[in-house]
This record gives sequence, C-alpha cells and structure tokens, in this order.
Amino acid sequence: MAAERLTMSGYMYDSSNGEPLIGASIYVKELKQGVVTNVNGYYVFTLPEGVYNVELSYIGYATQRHRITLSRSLSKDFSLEQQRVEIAEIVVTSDDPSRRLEKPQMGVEKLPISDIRKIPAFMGEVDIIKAIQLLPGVQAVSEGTSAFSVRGGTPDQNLVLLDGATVYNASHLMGFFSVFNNDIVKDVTLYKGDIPATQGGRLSSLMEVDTKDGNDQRFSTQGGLGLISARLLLEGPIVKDKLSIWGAGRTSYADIFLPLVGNNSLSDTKLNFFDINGRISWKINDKNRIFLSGYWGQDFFKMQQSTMFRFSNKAATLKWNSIIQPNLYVSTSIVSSWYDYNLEAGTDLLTGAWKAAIEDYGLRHEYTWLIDNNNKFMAGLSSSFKIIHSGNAELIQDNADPLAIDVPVSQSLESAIFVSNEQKIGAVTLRYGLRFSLFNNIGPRKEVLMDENYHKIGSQEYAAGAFYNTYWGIEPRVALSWRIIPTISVKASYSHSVQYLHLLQTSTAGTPLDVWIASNPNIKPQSCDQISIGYFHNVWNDNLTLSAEGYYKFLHNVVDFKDFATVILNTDVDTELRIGKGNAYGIELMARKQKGNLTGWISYTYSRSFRTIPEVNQGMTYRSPSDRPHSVNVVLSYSPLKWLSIGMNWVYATGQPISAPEGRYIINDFGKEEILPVYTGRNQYRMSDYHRLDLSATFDLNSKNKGRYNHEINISTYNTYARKNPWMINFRTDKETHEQYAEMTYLFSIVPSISYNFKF
Amino acid sequence: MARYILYTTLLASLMLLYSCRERIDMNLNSAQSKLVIGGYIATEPGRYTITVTGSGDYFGQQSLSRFEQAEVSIDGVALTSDPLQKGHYHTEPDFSAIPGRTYQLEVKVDFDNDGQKELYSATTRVPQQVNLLSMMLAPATKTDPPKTLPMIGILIFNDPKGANYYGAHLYISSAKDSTNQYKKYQITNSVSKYFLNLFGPEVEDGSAISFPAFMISRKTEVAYRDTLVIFPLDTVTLELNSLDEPYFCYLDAAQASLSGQNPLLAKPPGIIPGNISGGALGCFGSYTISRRQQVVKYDSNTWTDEQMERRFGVAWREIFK
Repeated sequence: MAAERLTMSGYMYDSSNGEPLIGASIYVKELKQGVVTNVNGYYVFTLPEGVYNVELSYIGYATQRHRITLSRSLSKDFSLEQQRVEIAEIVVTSDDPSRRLEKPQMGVEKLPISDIRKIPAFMGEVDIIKAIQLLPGVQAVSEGTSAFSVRGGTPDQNLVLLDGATVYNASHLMGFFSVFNNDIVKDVTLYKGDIPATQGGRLSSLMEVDTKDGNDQRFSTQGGLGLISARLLLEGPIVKDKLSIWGAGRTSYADIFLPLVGNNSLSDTKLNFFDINGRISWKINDKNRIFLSGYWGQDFFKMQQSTMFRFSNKAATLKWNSIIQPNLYVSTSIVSSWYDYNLEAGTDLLTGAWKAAIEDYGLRHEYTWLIDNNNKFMAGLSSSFKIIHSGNAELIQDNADPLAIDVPVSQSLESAIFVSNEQKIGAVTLRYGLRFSLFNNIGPRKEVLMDENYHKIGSQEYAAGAFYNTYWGIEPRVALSWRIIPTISVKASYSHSVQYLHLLQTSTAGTPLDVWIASNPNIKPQSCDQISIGYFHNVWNDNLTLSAEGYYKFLHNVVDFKDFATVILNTDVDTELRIGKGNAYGIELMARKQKGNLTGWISYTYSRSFRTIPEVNQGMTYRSPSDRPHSVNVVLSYSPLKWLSIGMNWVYATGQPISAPEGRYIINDFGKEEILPVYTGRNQYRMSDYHRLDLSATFDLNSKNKGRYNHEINISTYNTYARKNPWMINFRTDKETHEQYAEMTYLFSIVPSISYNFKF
Repeated sequence: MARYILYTTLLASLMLLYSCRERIDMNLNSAQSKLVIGGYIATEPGRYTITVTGSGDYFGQQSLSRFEQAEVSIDGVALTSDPLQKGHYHTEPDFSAIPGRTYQLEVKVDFDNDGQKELYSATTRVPQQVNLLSMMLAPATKTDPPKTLPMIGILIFNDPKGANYYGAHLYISSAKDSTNQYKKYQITNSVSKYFLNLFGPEVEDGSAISFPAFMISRKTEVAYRDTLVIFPLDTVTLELNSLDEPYFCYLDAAQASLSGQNPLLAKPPGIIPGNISGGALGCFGSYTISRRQQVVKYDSNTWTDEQMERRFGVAWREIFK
C-alpha cells in the first residue's frame, strides 16, 4: 500500500516587514525536490509521511534549514531575514537561475525592484518601464517615452497590469517617466510572447506589476528627493500581523526651472504630475486574505492661462485570495481602470475643449490546484466591460451655439474562460492550456457602413443594450522545457492570441492623446501565432546564465492607416484604417551575471517586423514602425566598496523606420511657389542608429552603521557622451537657398541629476 | 479647428521645452520624374494660373522641368503661356468660376519626349457660394489685463446643408502706408499658410457657425524674410473659401506633407491624392470667395509708446484719443 500523501503549505515572509516573498525556494533534501512560492508568497508541497530536512532560501536573505516531522498535513509559515552583508551579494535577479532552466515558459523576464533601483535613471527617477526597455526583445518606441515595443509588436499590443488592473497609458510628462512609483512596486514580470493562458487580450506581451503588501510589523517610511520630483511612502500595521496599510505619493516640480529658460512666455507655464497609490492588506485568517489597492495619477500642463492639458490614470483592485484546501487556491478580483485626457484652449470669446476616455470594469475568478508535486492546474474566467469615449470636442462661443464633434461612445464586453496545467515528467516540464475568448459590441452605437474601397456609404444604428456583433477566439498555449543536464535546458513554445482592442496612434512617440477603438463589424480582431525555441545554459555554479531564444510571429488582421489618415476626432475613423497581415521574427541572446561585485547583463537582439496591407505602400510588404534589426544592451552594476555602487547602461539600436520623400515638385497655388515632397513608400528609410551611455554612482551614507535610518545619494548622467539621438526627422526647404534639406530633432544632450533617497 | 489651435499651441510649447534641431545628411533614392499639373479657379474675377511642370529628386541642385509648349484649356478655352514664367498658363484677366458649374481642364503636353503630346484632364465642380455674415478679432489669451494681440480671426457664416469643405485666407493692409502707396499683403500666399477647416465636412451641417482661423500676432510673417508688424488702424481681411472636395483633400494632404513628421501628430505620408488623369501628379480645383474686414484697434498693452511714436510720430496720442 502506498504511503499516504500529505501536504505542507504556508507563506514565506520577509521577517522585517511581513512582505510575502515571491519565488522563494523550499527544497526537501530527502526527495531532492523543491517548490517556489507564488505571487502571494504561498507554497504547497505534497509529501509522504516522514521526517524531512527542508531548506528555505531566497536571494538576498539568510538561508534557513528546518527539520520537519510530517505526520499529518501541515500549515506552516516561515520568515526569512535579510542578509546584512555586502551590497554586492544582493544579486541582479530574484528569479532562481536553476528554476529558470526548468520553467517551460519562454520569453519571461522578472525584475525585482531592488535590481531596477541599481540601473542609472533619467533625472534620477527610478523607472520600471525604462528598466524593462533594457531587456532583450524590448525596445523603447522612441527617445524619452514610456511606450515600448516587444518582439516587433506595437505598444498597444502590450497588456500592462497594476495589481491586475489594466493601465492604458503608463506615462507621465509625455512619457519621460512612467506611472509606477518605484517605492511601491514589489515585483515586475514581463512575458514577451508566450503569455500564460490565464491572461490574454494582447498579442505581444504581458507586463504584470505587483505592489507591495505593506509592512504589518512596524511603521516605516521611505522616499526620495530629486531634481524635478519627490516621493514619499508611509506604511505600517493597523493590527500587527493582520492588517497593514500603506500610502505613497509622488509629485513633480519640473516647472520651477522654466523661468530660467529666459523665455517670458514660459514663466507662467505649469508642467507637473502627481500620483497617489494606496493599499490595505488584511490577513483575515490563515486561509483568507483580502487587499484593496488604488492608483490615481494626473499630469497637468497649462500655458499662459489659455491652454490647459490634463491626462489622468485611475485604477483600483479588490482581491480576495482564499485557500480552500492546502493544494487548492482561489483568487477573485474586481478591477477597474480609467484613462482620460482633456485639452482646453480659449479666448475671451471662444473656448475649445477636447475630451476622451476609456473605462474598464472587470471581474476575475481563478483556481490554482496543485494536483501533486508534478501537476499544477489552473482554471478560471474573466470578463471586462469597456466604455470608450474616443473623442469629444466642443467650441463654446459667447454668441452662438456650441460647435461640437462627438465621436460615438463604444461599449464592449470581453470575456474568457481558461484552463492550464504545468506538468513535470522527469526532466521534461510541459505547460499546456487553452483560452476561449468572447467579444461583444454593445449598443447604443452607430457604426459606419463602407464599400470595398473603404468609402462611407451610410451608417447602421444599434439600440441600447443590443449585443450587435460578436467575435470569439480559441487560443491554445503550449510550452515544453527539457532539462538535458542540470545546467542546460532547451525550450519550445507555441501560442495563439487574439486582441480585440486597438490603439489608433499615428504617433511614434507615445503621446498621451490616445485613441482606442474596439473591434467592430468593420475592424476584425487582430491575432498572432507565435513559435519560439530557446537554449538556456547556467555556468559557474549558476553565477552566469546564458540564453538564446528565437521566435517567429504570424500576425493576422493587422491594423494600419491609409496615407494621410485623420485619426483624432474622426467620427468615421474606420474609413481611415486598412487591414492586412504581418510577420515578425528574431533572435535574442543574453548573458547575465548574478553574483559578485560585478553583476548585470549583456544582450543582443536581432528583430525584424513587417506588414503587408493591400492599400498601403502600393500593396508591397513594408517595415513596421517597430522594425529595429539590431539592438545591444549592456547593463552593469559594480560595487567596489561597501558604500559605493556604480551603474552603467549602454544601449544601441538600429534607427527607427521612417518614410522619406524621394521626389519633389512645385505647387503654385495662392501665389507663391512651394516645394512639395513626393513620398513613394512607407517606412523605407531609417533614422540614424540610437545609442547612449548612462552612468550612476550611489553612495550609501551609513553603510558602516546600518540602523533603522538608511539613506543614500545617487548621482547619474543620462546620455553621458551627449549623443544626438533623433526623435524625428523633417524635410524642409531652405528659405535662403531654396534647397531641400533634412532636419533632425533630438530631445536630450547629457542630462545630469542628483537624488537623495531615505528609508526608516 | 479646435484640434488645430489646441494641438499647435501645445506642441509648440513642448517642443520649446525639450528639443533641439540640426541639419543632417540623408541618402535618398531617385524618384521617377512625373508630370505635375496644378491650379485652381475661383468665383472672383481674376487671372487664374495652371502650372505644367515635372517632378525631380528631393535633394539636388537640378532645376525642375517646366513645360512651355503645352496646350492648356479650361472648358475648351485656351490658356495663354506666360513668356516670363515657364510652365505657367493663364486665363483671361476677368475669368470667374460660376458656383455649381463643372469645369474641365485639358492639358496636352509631350512629357515622355516621343514627339507626341499626351492628353491629361481633370474636372472640378465649383461649390455653391457661401457668404461671410461677419468677422471678429478675438483676443487669443485670457490674460489679465486683456491684450488685443495676438488675436484670433473668427469667420461667421451659415453653413449650407450637406458636406462642405472650407478654407480661409488672411490679408492685412496698412492704413498708414495706404496714404501714399496702398499695400496689401496676402499673408496666406502659400499652401502651408492657408487655413483649412479641419472640423470635417458634416459637423457644422446646416447651422450658423463661427470658424476660428489664424493666430494674428503683432509680428506676422508675410513671406520669406518679410515680417509685417501690425499696428492700430491696419485692416485685417478674412476670406472664406468653400472648396470642392478633391481640392480640399489635396490641400490637406499637401499641408500634412509640408508640416513634417512630427511624432506626436504626424499623418502617415504618402502620394498626395490628386484628380489629374493619366498618372500625373497635382490637382485642379475650385472655390468660392467671400470677404470681410476689420480695423485693428489701439491697445496700450500691445504697443509701447515708443513703438507708437515711431509709427505715427510724436503726436500719435492725438490720433488715438
């Protein structure tokens, strides 16, 4: 008779603040088996009755060894202590290198916030999206933006979740900063293509940002003061070990320097942002936990009392995690998010206002069942109701009726059910799953009717509440990992994903003036089939990890614009869009060093991305805006002394594709001759290559006497050798010589900064 | 329109804050030379011009070809080749387009140098006349105290039912100079300075509307290296044009091409749509004309005493009592 299988489960915490440890390892020596904690710090193990030596480890924390007698199923929590050791021993990744080999998931990058803080930051403001943009396969859309492209995809193909709530525009100050305050971020995970079946709705990537649970042991504070922004986090227990709360705020004061520009017109200009985060976490009992988290951020720009531009993100999550059985875990969450912008300008007689917004209200219910140590099964459902206000502009006049453009509001429901299992069979780990997604357009709505040439021939009205259009998709996800020897694994995956929401952005710079549209009878959902293979090799006792990943994507129903498309405030925007297919492929090579005084990574990415749309570029295949064949990232952190840490990034990427005129002709309307450029193709040229070097030095001001109060000064330079990286290129005619020339606009030269950070 | 004002103000501000510009070298391929035919007719009597030229490489010193041996006609009436400006063909000096009528342009030219003239043609239907009811000069800022300059010109008119496409011209005439030599500046003497109504053809359908056009500052650029300084008693004239659809689309695309590749606002560039047959570039269009004018008033917040004295003499206060 087989021995009875018992479970051992519980949470692992940071002993100093009660924060759950994600990805911490529990290893049972006798069985030579281990598990890691999930995103909530929860672990579960199935074992036969017996006495075991259990080793608990987490990078940056002192390893603990316990002797456990298992005579019945056991619930046991552990707290690990942070190591008070050399800074250098806190390594670049918290994702266990050995575990990485075993995971079947490909194209997954996990960045702990402690590592992100080591990366030299623009204006001293540590930014997780800027850090993500340094990973192989990820590319900033342009200089200074928070928008990014993953494996040749477009920015709208990235699903960005903050505690499960969608963030539709993750930028502050036109994209120079992201909405994520680094003080409140616990963990960032980027899935670059092989998105788990539990998530969907985007083709290129999933970026999950989890906020910290909060210190349920003692009150603490941390914050920082930089050249243009400051931030503060307050946290502590309301009921020790039970109920904790934190609140964080960040504000910028970029406009205080404007009077120094010497331009009187800028002296009364306002250019600011702020954001507020908060979270309450309640450990109801050993089996039930609830948290409520919220975010509100806003950017504000005002010029000469007449022009005002504001954009705002809001997000909220209420999540309940419950352990039904030690090996059965349920998570239920209600999320909402909101993004809107408002642009106003006025005269004494006339006021213009332009508003747009997207609202998203979602529900998610998910089960995790650890069938045994070799099978982890997940299933669930999700649904989200979206209301898109694509644009409303109004001119209010003192002596006439308002003049308005009102793009009809769009309502849609996007739902999914999903199942997934991760199964170990000897040295092979399989992950297979299926996602069924369903999309409905809901009235009231007036949809444009078009002929085969995209000309409007009428419109069709649908009543309020009517489900007038439905799309669905079956999205299989399969992945395999074969650990050939303990230090080498090969992986392969296939995924099919469907996207029902599209960002209409002719911009290449990640403007906040986003126009989102949902699929409708004219615009079919985009879909993607992605095949990936990879080779992973750990050397030097897991100190250096080498990886090579290749992928190929087949894209269907890709959306692009006709020549000279008008996207903004267009009531018939469907007539401006053109639909076709695309493909993308690439190779990502990475070497990552994780221990010692010198840590970091070097990566090279070869990435191509193309589109073929019959009505664009005369039907010929052309480069997508994200086609950047070569990119290199060197991200290093060196700690020669206890009190000093030096960071360096060097970034290189092939120039961004642009359209350029090959011909010119004279236009002589209205009296004066003017030269018109003749564009013959789309994206057939490139800007010059992008590269820059960032450096930083962090001085730990009390490294010798670590106490409750810790503080540091960070000095950094962005674009240290003052490379003039093009942001845009225009083609103009010289007023003196009447000759044509190309003119590059660049945003930054060298940008030095200093910031002071503290924690107590 | 709102889009235009709000966008340009915002963008200009941001660009001022962050960006630097520099000329660069780019190697561009040669484009196949194409025939270009362009021009318009309008409802006001005048001499209108059709140009027949060729396209060339974007960069380079070579001059663009101009065809002086073409046969150009509108509705069968031949246009006269200008001996001083090659490739320019003029109507009679008193030509005026009639609203609602369709005109056909025909151009016969040997573009491919085979000894035979090929025929290229286009038609335009002149829109119905739209008259300005009035105009206003509204202060562009809500500053306290208010300033009269910069101003926004506002055209007020009744929009006829159906799709209509509007544009506007701006003229400024100097009252002081007119005592000796009348000078009239057409500020919008090029396509890039012309003001197109971007509200869309059906938005104002059938109602009385105010169409804000042009930011008029104390120093308004007239042409190359020529800046017009505006003073009290100058006359601002606003001209409303109702354009035929192909010509509006052509000008809209031309302006987008000229305004460049701004990453925040750019429209994807391409071949500018025209209406000339036979693969030629360019467009033949038409529009109606209606004008109103207003004299600029004196405002102490806009002009300094020194400026007024230089312009009107030491006794300037007497003039503006």
